Amino acid sequence: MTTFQIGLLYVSAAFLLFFSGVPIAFALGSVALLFMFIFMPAANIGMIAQTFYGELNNFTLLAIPLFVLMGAAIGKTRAAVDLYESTHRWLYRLPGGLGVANVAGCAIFAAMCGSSPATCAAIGGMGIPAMRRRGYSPELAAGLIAAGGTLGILIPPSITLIIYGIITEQSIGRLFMAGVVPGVMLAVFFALWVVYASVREKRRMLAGMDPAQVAQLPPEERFSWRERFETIPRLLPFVALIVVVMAAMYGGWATPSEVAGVGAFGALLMVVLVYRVYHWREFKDILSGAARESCMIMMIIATAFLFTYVMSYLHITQSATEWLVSLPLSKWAYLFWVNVLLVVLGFFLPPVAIILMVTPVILPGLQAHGFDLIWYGVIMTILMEMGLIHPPVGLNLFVINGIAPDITFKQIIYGVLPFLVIMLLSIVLLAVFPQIVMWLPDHMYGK
Amino acid sequence: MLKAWDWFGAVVQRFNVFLGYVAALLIIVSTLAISYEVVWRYLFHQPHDWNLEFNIFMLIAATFLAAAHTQMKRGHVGIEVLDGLLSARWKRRRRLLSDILSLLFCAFVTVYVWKHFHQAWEGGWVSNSTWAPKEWIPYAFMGFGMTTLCLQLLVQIGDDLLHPTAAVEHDVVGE
Repeated sequence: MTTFQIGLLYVSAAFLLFFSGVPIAFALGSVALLFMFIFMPAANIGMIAQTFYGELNNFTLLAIPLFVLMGAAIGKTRAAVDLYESTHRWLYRLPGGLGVANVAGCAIFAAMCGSSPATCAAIGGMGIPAMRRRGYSPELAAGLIAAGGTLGILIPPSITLIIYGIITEQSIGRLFMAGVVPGVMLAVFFALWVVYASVREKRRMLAGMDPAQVAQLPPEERFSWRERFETIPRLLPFVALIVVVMAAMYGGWATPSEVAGVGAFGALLMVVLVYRVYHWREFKDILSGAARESCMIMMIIATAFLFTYVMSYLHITQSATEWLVSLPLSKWAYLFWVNVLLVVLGFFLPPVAIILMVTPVILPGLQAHGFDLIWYGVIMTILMEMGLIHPPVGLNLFVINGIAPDITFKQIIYGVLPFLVIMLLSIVLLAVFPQIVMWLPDHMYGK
Repeated sequence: MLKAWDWFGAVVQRFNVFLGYVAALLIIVSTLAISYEVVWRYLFHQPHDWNLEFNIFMLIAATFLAAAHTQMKRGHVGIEVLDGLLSARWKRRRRLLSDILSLLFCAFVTVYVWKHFHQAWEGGWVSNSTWAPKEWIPYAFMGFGMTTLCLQLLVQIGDDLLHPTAAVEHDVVGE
């Protein structure tokens, strides 16, 4: 059999198992094992335990369960309620202020907990009903929360960027830095769209109402400066924690894993001291959630490494990259088709699996075409964000469906479409002006 | 027979819930060890030789000990897009096939991990670092975790076969 045929069989077998519903971790491992049996010397099978151990024997990987624990700890507190209240009180004067407050709440909570679905559930649980009461359409309310939640994997700390950094051997600190400006930029673009859409919706709604109906609308909320400032003290410890964590990493005092460890420890302390979560009933949810999410990611990482090891041994990776590099494509055409591939895979697969499976194949082409791998890490993360809200299986769509069952799935999909367009346009903007991504890491770490 | 199976399933699931908490506690132990190391290094400018490897052991132990608990909650993500198109009966069959394939993979890995553990134990292998911990320790966690994962899959397959009409949600026990 030729390498091409083996490669085709390998990928087809993986997708067959994926679509039969076998968990991604076990599907990747099963296909790798099967091909090891058929095409590789028997000694390789005997080394499987060592291969797993060798793959997980990586101190940088430790950042993943630690950031997951930090996110689970913060996610289970009232921090989201406080954050939502705070952003609402500070931004209510803006046109579309409630929607903007939700976007800001998502961005800040995402930075604290690092999880897109958790952000959607936490902010959306309060934000969607409040926006609906204020006359926001179900599409806009659902779309902005689904999209706002995706900021969690771009704004640091980001597990997606950690995995990308390990695979491409890029500095995690630089990657985190690179995610800051595009993350804030996306949040601002989302907010601008929300202002435009909510003002348009409000004008249309008022135009279709008679004065009696207008009088029945809930009165505009007003908050005094005292009411605004009183929300700050409860948030301050968490914001301070994030600032300290980031400063420690960017200041070079600690590695990303050490920062994650200190951050998780600090988050647990604050959960106990500030939010008084010390009953086993509440604490066990944090423990069980952190254990499950981190195990799920780590098992995919372990088996995906095995999958790519077999691919490489059978020369599938090398042949695929040689073929990709030899294609008569311009730099931008190559980037375009690689991005299309990632978007399509994002329809079905979670970010961690896509990054681990695809990056080794597309990486040499990206390098050959002169793309900066830190810059591409941000582009790839935005593409992964799109996968989280893209039908048919965008995870955030289902989270919104769960927390707002009165909004139909069709309305949610319709609502996220403008945000998908914003993300696509942002990628184009970042391609034209890569300095937006590279300015902060270059400024902090040097070129 | 059915009663004995249900009892066995309940015991396995309760134990796996317990292991899930143990796994999370190990992550917390790791946060403590790392924080201690960062403070110690800052104060005394002298890193410990055990810290890095100790934390990696914690990571491996936490990952594998939580595997069964994660499976119990169906937390190992898969593509279930076809479920929307299938009838309840075919959905159950799809899940059963998926569990059987998962069990085959996990059982295979479990056997090889225990074999490797045995070699490391018999040979008294130690790691190459200056701390030089015994190499059988991480393999013991891996083997134990994979064994409980196999048992969990076995329980879920058994439940699917023995209680075909029941709503098979395996997250009812223990929490």
